[in-house]
Amino acid sequence: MRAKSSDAWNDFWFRPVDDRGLVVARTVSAATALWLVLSRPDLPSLVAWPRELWSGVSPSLAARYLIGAPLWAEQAAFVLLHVALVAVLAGAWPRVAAFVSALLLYHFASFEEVMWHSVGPYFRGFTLPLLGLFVVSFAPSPKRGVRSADHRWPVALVQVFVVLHYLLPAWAKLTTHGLDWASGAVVRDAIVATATAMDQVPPAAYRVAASPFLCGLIGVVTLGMELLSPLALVSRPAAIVLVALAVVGHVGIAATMGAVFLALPMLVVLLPWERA
Amino acid sequence: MTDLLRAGSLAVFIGLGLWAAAARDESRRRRAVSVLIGYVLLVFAAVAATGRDDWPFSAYRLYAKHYDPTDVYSRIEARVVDDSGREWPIDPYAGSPLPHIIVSMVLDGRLRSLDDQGQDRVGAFLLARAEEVRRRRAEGRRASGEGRLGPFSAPHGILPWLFDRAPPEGLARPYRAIRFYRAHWRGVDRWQGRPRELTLLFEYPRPEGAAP
Repeated sequence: MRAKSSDAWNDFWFRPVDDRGLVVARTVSAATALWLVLSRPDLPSLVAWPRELWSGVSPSLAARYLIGAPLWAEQAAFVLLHVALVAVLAGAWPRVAAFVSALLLYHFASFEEVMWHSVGPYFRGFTLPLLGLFVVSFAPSPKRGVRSADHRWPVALVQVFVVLHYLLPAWAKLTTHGLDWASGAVVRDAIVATATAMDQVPPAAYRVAASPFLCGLIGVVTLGMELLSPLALVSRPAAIVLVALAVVGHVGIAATMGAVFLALPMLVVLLPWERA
Repeated sequence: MTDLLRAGSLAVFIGLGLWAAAARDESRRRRAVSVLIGYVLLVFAAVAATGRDDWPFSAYRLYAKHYDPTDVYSRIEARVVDDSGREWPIDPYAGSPLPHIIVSMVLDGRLRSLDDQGQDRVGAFLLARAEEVRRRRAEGRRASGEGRLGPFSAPHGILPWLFDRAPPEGLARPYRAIRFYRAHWRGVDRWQGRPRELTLLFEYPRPEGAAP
């Protein structure tokens, strides 16, 4: 029994594969992060905001995110983050560049929600790329034409991070609502409460909320997809189905609740790139 | 203390990763990687079991919350006034790099604990930011917070067109004042077409005769 589970562990994490999956994981993590930081050019300026707006940030929270440097240092670090991400994409000192990128992303990602968050700092798309960059920085650089266990475990770990992004919400829903979460009523209430928080209501919100059938369908498919998401780690067809359903789901969330899943490109890591 | 423990959990992850990275022969590396993986799974199990966040190891509890559309929701809404006295929605990028909705939440949390001078400093800051964005838009340029990739820039987590912004006539004249309102609504009421109710909290600069 113990030998069997050890074999399963080794087969999942350490079976020798080619370098394609690792190259994709590294590229997608860096590209997603670069897309986000290029979209947030004034992130460092937050440190120059009035102290009244920083008054709710405790010294320990600031220390957790390494916040406290002057504006010029933040601006220099932000430039370094761009350079490091480009270096990862170009394959120039990729492990060091990925490590530096991940550390700086951890710091700058906190800026967007350090002053306020209610449900945990998800940091608007930065979470998965930064975990991905840490992992690829820990792994030996990919070697073309070589089958190696060191090509496998980093990809598998990044895939686990992506799958947990779906599995843990299912767990949270079940522990909060039980199977009732999949009933149309809970989905409808979530859509109406979320969609009406903005000035304009997302285009499909009221139409979907008014349909018990659609709300019920969304509830069942969402919870089912999230609970079955670990299958994507062991089955190529399941990975393709999960990616397709997740993309449809995120488009649906944007159309009904207005929320955009900015780490969407990271789903690519789940696709079957590597060959044994 | 909790924050430092959370930072510590990431530090352990990094330490184990560096241990794996430093291992030269394959069997040692495999052992180190197995410890790293075990640690990650343990942290996520703890986060899931307790429901407490340990970002970047998150429990992702967002849509597990109880939402009740008959509850009264509220947030702070800022509006700007031009030099002809007309009021316009503040540009959603005036508070960049913070997402517009987060600015609203930050104001909600902070304004009530500030004295008048503190509120005025916040008002002056946001008014200057709003005026800067207005000037750029009036010149046909994008707000600086909209990113370096033009239309391909990532939105701030919410579809940007769901937040009102001033129409072209609202960009023509300089902004001279900013008003902070508390907006109240119930989801069910908005669904039936009823608008949010706005209650004025304060205006910067304070109208003549008002404190301080």
